[in-house]
Amino acid sequence: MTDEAKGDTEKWVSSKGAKYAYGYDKGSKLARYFNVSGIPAAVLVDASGTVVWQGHPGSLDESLLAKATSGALPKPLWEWTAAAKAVKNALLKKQYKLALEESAKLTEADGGPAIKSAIEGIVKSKVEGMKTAFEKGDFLGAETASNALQKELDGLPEQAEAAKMAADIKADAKAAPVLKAQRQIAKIREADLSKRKDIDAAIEDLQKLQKNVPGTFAAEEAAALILQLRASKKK
Amino acid sequence: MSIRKTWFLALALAASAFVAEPARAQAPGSKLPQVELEGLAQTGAKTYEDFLGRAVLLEFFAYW
Repeated sequence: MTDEAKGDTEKWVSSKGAKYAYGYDKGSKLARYFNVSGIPAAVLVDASGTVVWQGHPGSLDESLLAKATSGALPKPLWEWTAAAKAVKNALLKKQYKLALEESAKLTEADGGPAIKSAIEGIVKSKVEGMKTAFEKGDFLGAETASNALQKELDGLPEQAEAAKMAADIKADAKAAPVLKAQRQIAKIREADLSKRKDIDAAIEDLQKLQKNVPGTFAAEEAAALILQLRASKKK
Repeated sequence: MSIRKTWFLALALAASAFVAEPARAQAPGSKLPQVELEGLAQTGAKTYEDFLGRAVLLEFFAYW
């Protein structure tokens, strides 16, 4: 969608008979994040907010869909009853202990047990996601998750796992140089690289980073971004 | 690098039949960055945050 009026989009959606929810990707941030350069393109996000798949929508595996929807909230937030307002507010503030406590007060008619179970699943999935990031050497991902979860899981036993992760990253001798490289890569990814000379300079920086931390997750990230930048030069 | 188009996203709550082929995952395991969607339509959601706790299929469309 170029810079055309919303009215044109609405007409298009209407003419296609599309019934699904849609919205506008402000500043094309998401499309840039996923390096979307052509359509159709899709991304599947599970109930914990983790990206589980990206690709052509026609190649989406049903087993992935089942996995992504497993443990999801039975109803979207805007369909919850008024009785569940406190849970909803706690969830939106990412106060999971409070959300669990409030969900335990809800009756079955208000979806209490199902909501509580889904929240427990989301917490578990968030902790697992943090651990997975660490195991694959994505120290920045693990650190970011750890920092967030130490706040979000305040008062829950899982908070200790998030705190332990921060300590584990600090104690891991391999982590510091990788983290440094990952932060530099993240800056390059966020930069506005519309000029060819800026893209070339970014590629050069990424190649240096690759050499500094060979065989690491950061080196893989740098390689992927180099490919992305080279492709963008051809457009 | 920058995509000048304003993409709009279809948000389908993952559900029904799709062709079962091997998935080509490119960014599995990463957390979705903060999503800022404008003009959400055909949904009760006011912001992307309202999809919290739900599985979401984001499909990129472009109209030009």
